[in-house]
Amino acid sequence: MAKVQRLKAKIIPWAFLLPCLIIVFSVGIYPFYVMWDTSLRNYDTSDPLRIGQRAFFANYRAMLHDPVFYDSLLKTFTIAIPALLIEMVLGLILAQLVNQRVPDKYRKFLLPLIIIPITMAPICIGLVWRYMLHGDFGLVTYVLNRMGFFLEESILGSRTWAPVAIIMVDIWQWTPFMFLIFTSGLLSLPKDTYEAADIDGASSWMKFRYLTLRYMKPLIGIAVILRFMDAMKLFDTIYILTGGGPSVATETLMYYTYRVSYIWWNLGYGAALSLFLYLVIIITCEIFYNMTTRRD
Amino acid sequence: MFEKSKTSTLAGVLALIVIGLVVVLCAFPWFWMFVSSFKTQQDIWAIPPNLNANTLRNYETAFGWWLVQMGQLMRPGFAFYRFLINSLTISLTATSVTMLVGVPAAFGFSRFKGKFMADNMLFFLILTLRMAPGFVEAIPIYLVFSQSILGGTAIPVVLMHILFTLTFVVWLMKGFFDEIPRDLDDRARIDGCSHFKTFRLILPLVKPGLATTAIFSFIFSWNEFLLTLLLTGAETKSLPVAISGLVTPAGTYWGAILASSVIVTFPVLVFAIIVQKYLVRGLTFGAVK
Repeated sequence: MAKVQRLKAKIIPWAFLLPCLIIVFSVGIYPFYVMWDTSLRNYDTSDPLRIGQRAFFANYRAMLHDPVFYDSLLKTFTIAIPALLIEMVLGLILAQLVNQRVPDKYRKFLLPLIIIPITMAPICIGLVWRYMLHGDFGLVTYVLNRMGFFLEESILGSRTWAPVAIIMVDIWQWTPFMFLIFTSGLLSLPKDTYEAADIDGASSWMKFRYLTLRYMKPLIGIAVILRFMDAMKLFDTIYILTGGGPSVATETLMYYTYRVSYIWWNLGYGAALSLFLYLVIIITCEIFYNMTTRRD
Repeated sequence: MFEKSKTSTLAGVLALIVIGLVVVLCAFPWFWMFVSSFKTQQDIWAIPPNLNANTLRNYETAFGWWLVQMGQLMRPGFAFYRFLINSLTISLTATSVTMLVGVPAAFGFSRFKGKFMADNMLFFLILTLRMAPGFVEAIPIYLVFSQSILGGTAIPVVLMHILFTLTFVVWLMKGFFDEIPRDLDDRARIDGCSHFKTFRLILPLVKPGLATTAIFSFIFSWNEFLLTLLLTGAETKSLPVAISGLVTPAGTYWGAILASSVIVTFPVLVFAIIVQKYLVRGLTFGAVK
């Protein structure tokens, strides 16, 4: 009887997890295996006779010799990193400003307006910005013209400005997210430490540098990790705003993978590319995580 | 902290102007979309831009009342009601299944810490799934389902949404369960309740958490685009995918796009305001309280 009891105590905790684990393994882990297997096979439609056959690491070798791959990887970082940094700095400044200058009772009116970008479906964000950035009749173009800036091409049709537009839209979309996280962090700072710093005559910059930033470090780490993994996978706004263009000016690795897999139907190569992107995201997040949670 | 604004009025005013500007910038595109959705085709593209919001025609187009009258002008595939129902079906099914599966798991992770082999590893495994680019899961699922009779249904996309919101539900709900003191469990156990009975007793205590989590999963599924684009066909499209289909090589149906975008974004905004107390927690998977 006691044996049965002990066995029961061991099994019951797993019963709570079981349905979740079944889904995670069948829909989550098993596809990884399929993906790995797919990435080792030939799906190049220019070679129809060998479709589906094993082609040991040919896709990975092709990746290493593919200039478009390197180019799109570079573009992924040149869009994700500036967007992430600017969102972080703006979010921190905004949180600090609101926290110091706006009385509590007014904050609840500010919040619904500030969170609008987070709640909008990315596809609608892309479309409304596409509408506003229209080369001839868009509101942004109109305002720029009135201010005396005339572009030769439309913003989204220009190789220089299209990536900038993608970054700006991303900043617009995600700065409120950073703002919310940092606001919650600022509200939970220990007040007495600041009072002690005041007595010691610390300047507000010193308080910010040595107290606020230090206390907020883990929070900043979480924000960066969450944002980073989404910024690297940015797809929706690119799909709607530029479709990777003009030519390939905004074709990030994510978009290139989409084109390889679903436009050219080279599923093997697409699988190799997406597994590579996944690896990059995991490794970078791991590094960030260790950097920001390390005690010092 | 607040007394400082009295000492330097100029800095205070400047800060308020900056804050006001940021708020306007955040809200403006939605406002512009909202106003423009009530404009005629001429006013949508008017130079200089105006605020002539005086027609419901775009909404009528979106809802398809003008389907017959518009004839060729209206893209026949855009049957708003059907896509709205698809969207609701996908989001509601995904949300309810994830909650059913994820909440007990979160309880398990919260209460039986150390009882599982490498429970931290399992927990992180679930998080790393969230880091995967949509293709990693979607291509195999596509390959498996396109061969079977379920290929034309919404089941593949619902499965993907379940997987991606599951991470979120487990992480968020674990945080809510962790806040309920363990003494309650122990007392229930001493009174002779089984683990399942204890779970049922604890559940009403995390009601706000459950509501928040459900709303966030719904929002995620409702707004999700890439997976839905890859895994649904003409019959099973969700609303966001259908809206993106209004951008065609032959022209873009801006009136219908603006009107349906307003309809898609509005419920989410209302939901977000309802759960604003838990907004940060929801957005960060419960990593921040």
